[in-house]
Amino acid sequence: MARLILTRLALFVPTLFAASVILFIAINVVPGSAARSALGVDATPQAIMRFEASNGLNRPLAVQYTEWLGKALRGDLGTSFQNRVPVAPEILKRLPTTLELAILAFLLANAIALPLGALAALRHRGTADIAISTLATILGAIPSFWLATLLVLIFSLRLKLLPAGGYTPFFDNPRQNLTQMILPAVSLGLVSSALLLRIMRTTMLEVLNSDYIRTAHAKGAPEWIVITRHALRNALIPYLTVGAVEFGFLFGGVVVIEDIFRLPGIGSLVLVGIINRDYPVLLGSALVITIIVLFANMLVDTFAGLLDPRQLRPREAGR
Amino acid sequence: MSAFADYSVRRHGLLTLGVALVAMVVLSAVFAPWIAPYSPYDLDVAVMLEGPSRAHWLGTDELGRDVLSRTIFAAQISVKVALFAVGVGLTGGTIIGMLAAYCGGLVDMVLMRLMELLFSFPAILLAVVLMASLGTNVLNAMLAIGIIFIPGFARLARASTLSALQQQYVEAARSIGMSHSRIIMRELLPNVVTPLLVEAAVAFAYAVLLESALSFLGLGAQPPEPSWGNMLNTGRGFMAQAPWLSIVPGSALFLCVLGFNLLGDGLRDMLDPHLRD
Amino acid sequence: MALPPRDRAGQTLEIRDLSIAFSTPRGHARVVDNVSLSIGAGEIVGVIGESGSGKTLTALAALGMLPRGARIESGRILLGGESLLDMTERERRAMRGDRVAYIPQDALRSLNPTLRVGVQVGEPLVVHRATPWNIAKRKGVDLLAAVHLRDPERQAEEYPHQFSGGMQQRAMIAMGLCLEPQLLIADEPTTALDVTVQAQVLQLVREIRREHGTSIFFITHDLGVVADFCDRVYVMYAGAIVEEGPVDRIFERPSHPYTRGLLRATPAVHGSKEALVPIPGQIPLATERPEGCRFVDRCAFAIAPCRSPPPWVEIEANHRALCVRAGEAEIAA
Repeated sequence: MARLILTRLALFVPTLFAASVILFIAINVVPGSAARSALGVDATPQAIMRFEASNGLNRPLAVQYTEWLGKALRGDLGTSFQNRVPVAPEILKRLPTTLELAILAFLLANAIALPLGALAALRHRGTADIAISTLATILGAIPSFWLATLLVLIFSLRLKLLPAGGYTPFFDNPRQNLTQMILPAVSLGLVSSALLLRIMRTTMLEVLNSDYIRTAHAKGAPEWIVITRHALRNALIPYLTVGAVEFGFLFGGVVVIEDIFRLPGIGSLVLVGIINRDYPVLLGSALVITIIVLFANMLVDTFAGLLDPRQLRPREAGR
Repeated sequence: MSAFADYSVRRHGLLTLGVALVAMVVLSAVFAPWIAPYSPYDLDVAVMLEGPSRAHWLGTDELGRDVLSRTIFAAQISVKVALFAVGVGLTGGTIIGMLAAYCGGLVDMVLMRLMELLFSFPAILLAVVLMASLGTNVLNAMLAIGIIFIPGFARLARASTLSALQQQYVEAARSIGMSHSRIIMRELLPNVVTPLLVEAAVAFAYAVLLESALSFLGLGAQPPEPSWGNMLNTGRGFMAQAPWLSIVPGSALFLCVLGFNLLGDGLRDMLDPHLRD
Repeated sequence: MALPPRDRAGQTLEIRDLSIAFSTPRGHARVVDNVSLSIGAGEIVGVIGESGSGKTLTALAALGMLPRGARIESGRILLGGESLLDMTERERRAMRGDRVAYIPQDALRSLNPTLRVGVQVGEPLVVHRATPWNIAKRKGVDLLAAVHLRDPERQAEEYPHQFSGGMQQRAMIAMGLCLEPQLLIADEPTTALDVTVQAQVLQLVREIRREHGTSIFFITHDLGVVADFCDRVYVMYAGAIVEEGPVDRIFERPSHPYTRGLLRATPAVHGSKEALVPIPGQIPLATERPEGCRFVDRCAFAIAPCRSPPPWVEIEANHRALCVRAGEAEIAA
């Protein structure tokens, strides 16, 4: 077991570095853009040169990256071009909000996907399957920001049941916090559930067609035992591995949803960064979100490995 | 037996629906100047924020522009972006994927690791970061989205190339001394194209979605140019008085994405039946 | 639910005129065509045939576990005198794993990869007798010992992928034996194993018959195994039984051209001196069977009357074949 976890961790670290390189390159894809953006269209060439010099932007990229990386590893993600405030503490402050949104949406998505996907597989080609598959197709086509808008229209404006935005930290007022998080989490979670539902349905179908399920039936086990004791765990393993791809979509959605509901998370910080052309802010927040996604991927992958005896205890030689 | 038949009838029905929706969008984009009752830029301050009426079937926006016309013209942006982005992704991805499969070894490993990593980035994030440097307008949105699509297509192209490479005819071609580039063009390319088409359909849907999200955030098509995304964004501000400003472009977006998704699913069913249940 | 007392006087399994069909896009496919067979208490009965002969489907029908799309068009299946087809699904389920057990071909794929072997082997106790798990697991260990696994205590805690092929097959047998069934249906249990392991597994099955009086429905395509092992044999071809009889009589005096063909194509049986003679042609699709005798297109002995449905011909006591020329000296040669 330790070996499994360690291998996953060992792969994780270089992936993080590679990701940071990619982000750094992406943001510097067009040279000189940082200065021009910060200073505006009518900046004089001298002003640009001064800006670049004072911010160290005129050195080779590799050097810039190394310096940035060095600082980042010590927890320093630079200071905002705009207001000269350090970036890292701001990100840290916003972290709980983003995590709360992501976790709630994730839980909701799975709460929908797992039972419905399994049900669809069990009633393959029956009415339930058709209905559920159609639902998945429709949900998968709805843009999360449109769903959010519609939900606000109905539940905030018309029914006046839920707030249209704003955020109170959980520990200040749990009830208000959760009420504020309902619409954001539902917008994100419902749309995420579509892909996960399809994945669950597919893996469950494969499992239900395998020989060991036939054995379970041949032992005279009733359907609910076949499902719970034999099918579920085996279906969960590939579900987790394949479904991990949804994290990327989920956190992409976080950026938009935080904007709509005015949630002070890292996602909205990304937007602040791009709108103000504040490169350290943008780079810092994009990096942190990417780290979270990669970390979540690694967690899920490891968990799937732990569930699978074939990965946990590989067959020893000489049996 | 009838359950079996019903199921495949349904599948065909869905594919037809997908084709119909996509056709509607594409035709709207192509024939917009002729179909739309008004120009998307025609202001008429006298009728701003009015609900659906005989003159304006889907109402007007905050500057008195006809929502129906703007929605139809907005299809142009979506189709343009989708075409361009998928084009970039398809071309870049196919080259990288086929290269990786053909060269094998270290080249393959490095390229594929890179693709895998790019794939796990949240797409919007990568797009935003790229556009910070490139600039925030529709053209750069197309470019950014295209770049984001490269890993997905590369992975597919590589898989198809690998299986095609194992076929006999490549051995035969090599044995008669065909040059490498000729082998790629004549033998490998045709077999790689089919699954890529399926992927392309789904990618179109995602491209439209991404472009709309970027426009919604103010990073893509800029007003007054109409895009479903930025129409939704403006509509946000008038939700109480003019809900149709949010409902109409959103529905168009939804139907467009749905259409491409159904098309992709249908194609996949038709071309690769053993992948299905 | 109380089951009626076991009927040891009559046949353990009796199948009469069973026909099973599928509806395919190519038409109506009767994959099992009027098959009748019976297995008495303590008998080992072999059902031999190539893939596609319908033998596995017949066995699955006896379990009440036909795949989706298969329909029983006619016939009766009696288990210990009780009609399977008249039972409710609940009653059938009560019987599966308890009175009749199934041992499939591919043991590795038939074992749940995420459950320990001991748990899977003892599971029938929990399902049918509501036994608490700790006792069922204990029984699992005992069963693994009964099938001669070397270290049953430890091995019961392991997972299927940690077992070798032979061990996996034995675990499947142990699972089948758990509730001491009247009938064991073994579907090519030795096909995937190498010869030495095969011999051990067969030895084990013989032991089971000896100690428990279990009847065995043994499906195989390997004549060599049948020769050593079975009391009686049914030869199936393209969905129908074409010859049946005691095993030594079948080998001594094959009376149907297909049986003859099988013998001449099998190395172990045929003898090393003469060359192996494969049967030309292929099994016809269930949707494209010839009128009359289904073997006619591949038969070296075909004559004009073969275009009509062949009759059953009694060769000797309990030995008959479905052929107009059954029993002729040439065929037995």
